[in-house]
Amino acid sequence: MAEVEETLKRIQSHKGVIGTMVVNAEGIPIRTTLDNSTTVQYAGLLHQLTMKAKSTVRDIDPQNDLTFLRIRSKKHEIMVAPDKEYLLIVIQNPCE
Amino acid sequence: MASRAARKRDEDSVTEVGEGTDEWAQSKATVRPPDQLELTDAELKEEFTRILTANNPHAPQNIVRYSFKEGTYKLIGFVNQLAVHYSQVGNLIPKDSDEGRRQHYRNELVAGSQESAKVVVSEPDLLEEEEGPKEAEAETGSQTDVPAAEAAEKVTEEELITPKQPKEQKLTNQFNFSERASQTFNNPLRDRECQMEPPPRTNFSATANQWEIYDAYVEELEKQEKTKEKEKTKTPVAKKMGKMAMRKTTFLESQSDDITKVTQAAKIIERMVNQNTYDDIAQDFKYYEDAADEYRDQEGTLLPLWKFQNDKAKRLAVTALCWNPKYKDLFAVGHGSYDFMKQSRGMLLLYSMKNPSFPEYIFSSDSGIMCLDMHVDHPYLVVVGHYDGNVAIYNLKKPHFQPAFRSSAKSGKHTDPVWQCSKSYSSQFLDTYDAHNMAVDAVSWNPYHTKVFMSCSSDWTVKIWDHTIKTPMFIYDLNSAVGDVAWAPYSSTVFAAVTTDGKTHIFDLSINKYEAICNQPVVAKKKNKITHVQFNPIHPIIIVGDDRGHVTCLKLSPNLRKMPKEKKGQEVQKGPAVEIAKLDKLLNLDSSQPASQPRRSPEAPAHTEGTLWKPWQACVSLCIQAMYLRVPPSVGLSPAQVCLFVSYSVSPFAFPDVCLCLCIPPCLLAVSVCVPISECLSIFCVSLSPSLSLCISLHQSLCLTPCLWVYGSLLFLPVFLHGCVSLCPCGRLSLPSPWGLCRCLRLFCVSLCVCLAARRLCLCVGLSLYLRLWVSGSQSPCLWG
Repeated sequence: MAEVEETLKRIQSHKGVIGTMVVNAEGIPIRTTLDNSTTVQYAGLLHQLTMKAKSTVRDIDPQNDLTFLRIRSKKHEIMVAPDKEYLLIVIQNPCE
Repeated sequence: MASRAARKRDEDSVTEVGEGTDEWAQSKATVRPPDQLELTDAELKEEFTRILTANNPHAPQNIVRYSFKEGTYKLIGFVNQLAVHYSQVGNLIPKDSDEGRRQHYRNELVAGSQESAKVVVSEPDLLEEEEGPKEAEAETGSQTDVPAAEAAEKVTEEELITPKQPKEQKLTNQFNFSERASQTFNNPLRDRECQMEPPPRTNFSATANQWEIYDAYVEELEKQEKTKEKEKTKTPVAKKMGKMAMRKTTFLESQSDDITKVTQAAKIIERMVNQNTYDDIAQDFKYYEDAADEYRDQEGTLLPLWKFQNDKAKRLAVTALCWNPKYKDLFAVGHGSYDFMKQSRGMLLLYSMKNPSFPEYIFSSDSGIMCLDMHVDHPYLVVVGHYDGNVAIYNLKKPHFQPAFRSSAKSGKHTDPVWQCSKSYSSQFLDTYDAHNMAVDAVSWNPYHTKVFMSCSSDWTVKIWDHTIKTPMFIYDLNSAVGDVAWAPYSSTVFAAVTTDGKTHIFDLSINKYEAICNQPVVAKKKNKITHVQFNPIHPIIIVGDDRGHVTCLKLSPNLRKMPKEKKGQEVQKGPAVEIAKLDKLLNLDSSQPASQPRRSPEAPAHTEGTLWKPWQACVSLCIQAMYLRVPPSVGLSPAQVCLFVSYSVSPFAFPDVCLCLCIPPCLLAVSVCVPISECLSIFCVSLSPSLSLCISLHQSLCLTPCLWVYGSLLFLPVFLHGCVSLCPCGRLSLPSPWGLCRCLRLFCVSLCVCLAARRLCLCVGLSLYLRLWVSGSQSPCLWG
C-alpha cells in the first residue's frame, strides 16, 4: 500500500504535472490533488470518454483491451490509465 | 310444434285473451262466483249481438312491419288468419307431384335396365321377348325381371349405372332432413379478480456488445474451471480452509483501502509522465541516427540518453551491470564499493528504460554487491555476489528479499558467476596466461568466436587472446586504468572498454585493428571513474556505470554498429570470426611485436576526430625555445629584431613540435618552419605594434589561417608572457599548433616563458597552457581546416 502511495506522490511531484486524481468505476473521484469542481468535471467527462474508448477497442477485438489514453491539447496533456475498477488521471504540462 | 303451440294457445286463452274471459264468465251465469258483477235485470236482458267469423281469434291484429320504403313502421292490414290445429308429416307423396313422378320414373328405369342386362348375360333368344315387355308397366316388368335380376346381379349393377347417367342428372336428397338445433344452457359468467402486492421492481439496462458477450463466456469458463478444481481438492479440512480464506479475503477487501488496486495503473501513468518529460530522449533513442557519421570516416559517437540515479545509492559505486535476458528494457545495477578499506552497505536496483526516474525494484543488503547475473530461463531470478563472500538469490516475483546464502571461499572480488579472477594472473579453469601486470578487472569471451576472449586490467591495457595461444593477439593501451570490457552482441569484432578517466572506447577490429573508432568521455566530471559497461542485447545502446552510483545510457551511432557485409554462402555470425582468424594468422607471422601502436602514427588520421571533447580541455605543453637575438633583449621580444627561435614542445596531447622562426628587421615577414610532424607550417608576419605580432600559419592542407600572437613582457625580464589567440576565417577560432588546424575551436594559449639570456643567446623554457573551448553545435569541420 505504501508503494502505491509513494508512486502517486512521485507522479504528483514530477516535472510538469498539474494534478492527479483517482476515479472509481462509477465516475466518482476518490482521491484528487485539484479543487473539487475541476475534479468532478474531469472525472465525469473522462470517465465517459474512457468507457467509450474501451468499448471501441474491445468491440473490434474482444481479446484486446485499452491500456491507456492520452489527450494532448494546446495547453497540456491529459493521461488516463484505466484499471479494472479505477481510473487514474494525470494532467501534465509537457515541457515544450 | 305448430299444432302443439296452437293447442296450448287454445287452452291458455282462458286467462289470456281479454274477450274470451268475458264470454266464458257470461256462459257460466248460473254459478255465481264471488267477484261476479252485480247487474240489474235490465242490464242482464240486454242483448248483445255476437258475430261468428272465421277469423282466428288468436291471430294478432296489429302487426306492425317496418317499411324500408317509407322509413317508418306501418300497420299491416292483412293478417294471416289461418290457425293450424294439428299437423303431422307423412310419408306418402301424391303421384302427380314432382317427387312422385320422379320416383315412378326411376322405378321404370330400374326395370328397363334389368331387362337389358338380362338380354346381355342370358341367351340372345330371349332378347326380343325381354325387350317387348321392357316398355310395359313397371310392375309386370319387374315380376319377370326378378329371377333374371337375381341371376345376373353383379352385372346389372354395373349396367344400371351406365344407362342411368345420361337420363337422370339430378340427384335429389334421399334422406329426410330435419334441422334440429338446441341451445345448451349458458352458465352464468362470473368475474373473479385478485390483486396482490406488486413485486419489487428495478430498472435494468445493458448493452450487448461483442466484448460483453466475450466477457460473459470467459466468466463462465472460469467458473467451470473453479468448480473442477474444487472437486479435485475436496477434503473437509480444505473446505474449511477455503471458507476461512474466503472470509479473510472478503474481509480484507472491504477493509483495505481502494488505493492498492491502482498499482498497475499508477505504474503505467508514471511511465507515461516520464515519457513526456524525457520525450526528446525517447525519440532520440528510437529514431536518431547520427547523420554526421558519413563524414567521419568510420568513426562513431555515443549519444548520451538517459541517466539513472537514485538517492539511496548515491555514495555507492556501480559494481555490476546486467541486462535482463527476457525483458530487454530492464537492467540490474549492483551497488557496492571498490574501496577495500571502506566497505558499507550494498544495493541492488533494477531499472527499466521506460521509467528513468525511479527503479522498478529496490533491494538493499548489508554488504556491498560485487557482481550479479540474471537467470536465462527464469528471468525473475537475480543472483548477486557480496563483498563478504555471500551469494544471494533474489526472486523478483516476490516482494521480499529471499536469499539463499552460500558463503564462498573468495572474499568478494569481481566474482563473475562463471569466472574466478585472481589478482595477478588471469586464470582459466584449464589454463594460465601471463596476462597483466596489475589486477585483471574483467575477462570476457567473444559471443561468436569460441576461441577468442579478452581481458582488461588496471595496467591500462586491454588484451585480446586466442585461448590456444599464450600471447595475446591484440593489445590496446588506453592511457588509463581500464575498468571493464564488453563484447557487442551484434558483431564479433566490436567491443567496448571503459576507463577510469571517464572515457568509453569502442573498437571495431574489422574496421580498425589498432585504434578505437570511438573514444569519448561520457561522464560529466573527470573524477567519475567508469566502472562497468554493458551492451543491450537488441537495442543499439550501452549502459555505463560509474563510481558515483550513476548509470548512463548511450546510443551507438551507426558507424559503431556496422555489420560485416554478408558473403555468399557464409553466415553473418561466423563471418567476423573468420575475419578474426585471418587477422590472427596475419599477426602470428609477426607475433614478436606486442602490436601496440602508438597513437601518433603517421598514417593514422588525426585522433582528435571523432571524439567529443569536453566543454573545455586544457593541456600543458613544455616549450623550450632558443633564441638568438641580434640585440640583447631588454624589453621582451621586440619586433624590430631578428630572432631565431627553435621551440620544441611536448604535451600529452600534442605532437612534438619543432618550430623554427626567423624574424627579419623590416618586421614584415618572419618565416617559421616547422618540422612536418606537427603538420603545421607557420609563417610569421610581425606587425606594427611592438607587442603584437601577426602570424599566418599554413596548414598542411594548404589553408591559410591567420592567427594572432600577442606578446607582452612583464617587468621581470627573463619572463615574458606571450599569448596566442588565433582567428579562423570561418569565424571561429583555431590554433595552428599543437593540434593542427583540424578543428576550429576556441583556443587560448597562455604561456609562461622563463628566459635566460646571455648576451645574444636566450634560452627560454616555457610552459604553455592551451585552453581549448568547445563550442557546442559546431561539430562539422571547418571549411578551412
